[in-house]
Amino acid sequence: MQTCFSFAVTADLQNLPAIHHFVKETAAALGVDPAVVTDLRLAVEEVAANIMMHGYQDEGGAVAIEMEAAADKLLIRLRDRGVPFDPTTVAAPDLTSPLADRNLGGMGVYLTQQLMDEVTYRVTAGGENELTLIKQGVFDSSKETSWANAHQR
Amino acid sequence: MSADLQIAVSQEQGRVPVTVLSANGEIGAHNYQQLQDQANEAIAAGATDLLLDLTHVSYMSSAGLRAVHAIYKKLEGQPEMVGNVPKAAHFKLLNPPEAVLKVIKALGFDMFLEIYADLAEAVASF
Repeated sequence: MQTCFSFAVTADLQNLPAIHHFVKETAAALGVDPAVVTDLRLAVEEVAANIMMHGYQDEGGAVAIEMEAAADKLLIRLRDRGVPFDPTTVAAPDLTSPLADRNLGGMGVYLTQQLMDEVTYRVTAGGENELTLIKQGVFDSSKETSWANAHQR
Repeated sequence: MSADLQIAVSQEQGRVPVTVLSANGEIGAHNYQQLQDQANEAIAAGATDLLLDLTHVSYMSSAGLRAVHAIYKKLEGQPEMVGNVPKAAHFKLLNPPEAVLKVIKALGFDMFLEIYADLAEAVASF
């Protein structure tokens, strides 16, 4: 059974619905627990939108996404050739600060880190930015067809 | 206009007139501006008290909360102090589903925005 799926779009926010569709369909194909699909969609959107708006500074480029099942973990990798940016170094926003005093935006990285178990960044040998999102224990044990179950037998 | 988000505008009368924005669909980075534009239009037309009905919003990313934040900033010159927390008096939320409430809470917006489960109660609170 296929355990790794990939997809690529040009860096345009109007392609986000296509990315959501890919995440939903792939999660279903890999047997991911439906209860965590929204978390995956949120994390991928936050990262992809940042790449499109800031990485490529609205000038376009490619955003590649790969989803892979590995034992009980789901790995999602996003690659781009925009301005190098390590979101794991971004300081968390002060959530106790009144909304009137807070600047708009800047919440996506924090939300991604809250939703995922692990977020790592590296520059690949080919010079791409690669952000890996890891979510543990996402496979729905009630689904007989899931890859995780197939490997537990 | 994004195909995956519709926003209807209606009026309710409580102690003051309340403009209700009822969103239907998903709110993400590709269409949050639509919500902000619709709210700006209502405010420009004279709305001073606004209720955002999220009953039929099945998904909202941080971009949706960016729009919520922008609306808050437009309507709340001087938020009312409830204890020592400034709570919005002119902009409130109605009935966010669990998946949307999770994001609202994760980003700490629930501390500063009143969230109602019932339309009549929400309207009466303004």
